[in-house]
Amino acid sequence: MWIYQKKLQCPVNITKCDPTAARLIMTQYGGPDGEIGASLRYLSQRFGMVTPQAISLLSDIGTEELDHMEIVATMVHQLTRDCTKEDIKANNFDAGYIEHGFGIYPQSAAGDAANALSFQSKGDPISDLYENLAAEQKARVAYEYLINMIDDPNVIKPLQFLREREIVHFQRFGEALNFVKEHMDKRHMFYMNPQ
Amino acid sequence: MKEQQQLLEAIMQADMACIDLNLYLDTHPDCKESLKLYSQYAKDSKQLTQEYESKYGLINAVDINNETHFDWASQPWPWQIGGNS
Repeated sequence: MWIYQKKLQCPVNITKCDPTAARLIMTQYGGPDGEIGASLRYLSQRFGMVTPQAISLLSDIGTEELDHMEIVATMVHQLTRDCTKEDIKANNFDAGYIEHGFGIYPQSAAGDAANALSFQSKGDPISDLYENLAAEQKARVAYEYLINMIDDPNVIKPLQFLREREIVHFQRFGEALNFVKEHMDKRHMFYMNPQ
Repeated sequence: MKEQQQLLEAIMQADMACIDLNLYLDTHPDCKESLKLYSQYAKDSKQLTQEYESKYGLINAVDINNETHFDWASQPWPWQIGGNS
């Protein structure tokens, strides 16, 4: 189970309205490399994991990703909370506004709704962990692209924080993969009752 | 920086250290140095959270200490003004 804490993992204090940045950042909420996909993927995959290290790592990183969802949603909320009609029009935010207002809706920067097809849970520890290694790298790059496109230091700071977490998660998944490979390479003895 | 924000950021730092050490310990369960750091930061976080909650507001609903009003629902949320600073 989970218990909510009324705080974020890192400070997010954005004061300047920027609907374009909001639309781009929303992709890290519900886009193909977004935090929702990451969290659901890890929390689902752990049921098919084989070693204690990998199971606990998927539980703990999956939990951390829930907080990252809240950080990204907070950024989008703060980037749009003082928007005027002119801001919406000038930033091509109108299509999104008509469909969701300033609500937090899980979609990609291109406007595609979140889709479970963008994450995998294969029931196979090796393929799942390789999937996660790739996912962490893709999310890191997505944060780098966002940082390239954004100038406001109050927006860049939490993006940098999230980017760094992707690197740590990649490292830990690599270690978990080694444990799983070691486990699978071991000679397994099966004892049967002849009755 | 306001004192409230300073205290909240100190909690965030201690908790961040715990989260990161937790992941490290998942794959290095016998690292004595990390275990020691983990319990130290966890202790710091508990202490700082107690101080923050007694002065500014709840972080955990179960820490409520008010017999007449449910502060948890009325105090600001992390995305709101005053909820994260």
